[in-house]
Amino acid sequence: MVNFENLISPSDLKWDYLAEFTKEKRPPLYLRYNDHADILMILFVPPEQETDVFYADGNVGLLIHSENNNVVGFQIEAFKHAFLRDHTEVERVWYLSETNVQPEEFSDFALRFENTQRRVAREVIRATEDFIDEPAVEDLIAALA
Amino acid sequence: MPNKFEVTDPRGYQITCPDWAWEHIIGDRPWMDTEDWVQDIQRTVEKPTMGIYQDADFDARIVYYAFRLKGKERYVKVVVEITGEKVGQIITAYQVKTPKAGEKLIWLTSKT
Repeated sequence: MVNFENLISPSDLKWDYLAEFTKEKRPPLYLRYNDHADILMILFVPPEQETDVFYADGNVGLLIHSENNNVVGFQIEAFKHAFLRDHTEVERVWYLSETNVQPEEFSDFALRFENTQRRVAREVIRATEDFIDEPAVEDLIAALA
Repeated sequence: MPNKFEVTDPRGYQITCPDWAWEHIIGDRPWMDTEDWVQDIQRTVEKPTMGIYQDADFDARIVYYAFRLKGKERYVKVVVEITGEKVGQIITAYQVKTPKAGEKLIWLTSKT
């Protein structure tokens, strides 16, 4: 049990950035997995952008722009330890990505890698849709196709 | 293994930040690659003003929280893995707006 307070409430979160993001054609996606910490980060802004974590529920954190509270990504903690166990479709896609055979052509590999990242991101978003206010989850998933 | 820094928490635990952990931290969040952030992480372990908690998922991990003194209101969170008797290694660190459900208080707020 924690004994200190939230500094902002869910009503302080802003969703305009993600709404704009879904209107772009193949917008950039930054996906990082820290294996020591077992944390997956999915960012819709470059990682150089300062962000704060707003815990939505359990191991799901929303990454929010430090200046304006716009939601710009997700942070999934205990990703392999707990999250994958509860989300079998994410688990299937994740382990497929880990066992990908690296093709000889690097450009082919880079393309496959990017596509795999987007697939993982789509499945994580599906699994966390309860915490997404707007845009519509299907619009966000379509933007990552 | 070289360390970025080593600090002592209020209970006398020796906590190190290995170079590899620091590289992970600034790899995930390049904007934390400043001396200010090194000091904020050190200060959080030395004086966890919001307390020390048992991690929600990993038995060997504890979490330090402190109110950040600079800029907008937020907490600094430092995750540490206990590796021996009263010794541990920083795993990661970042800033949060909310505490995390499932973490259990194990040490009361420092008054020092």
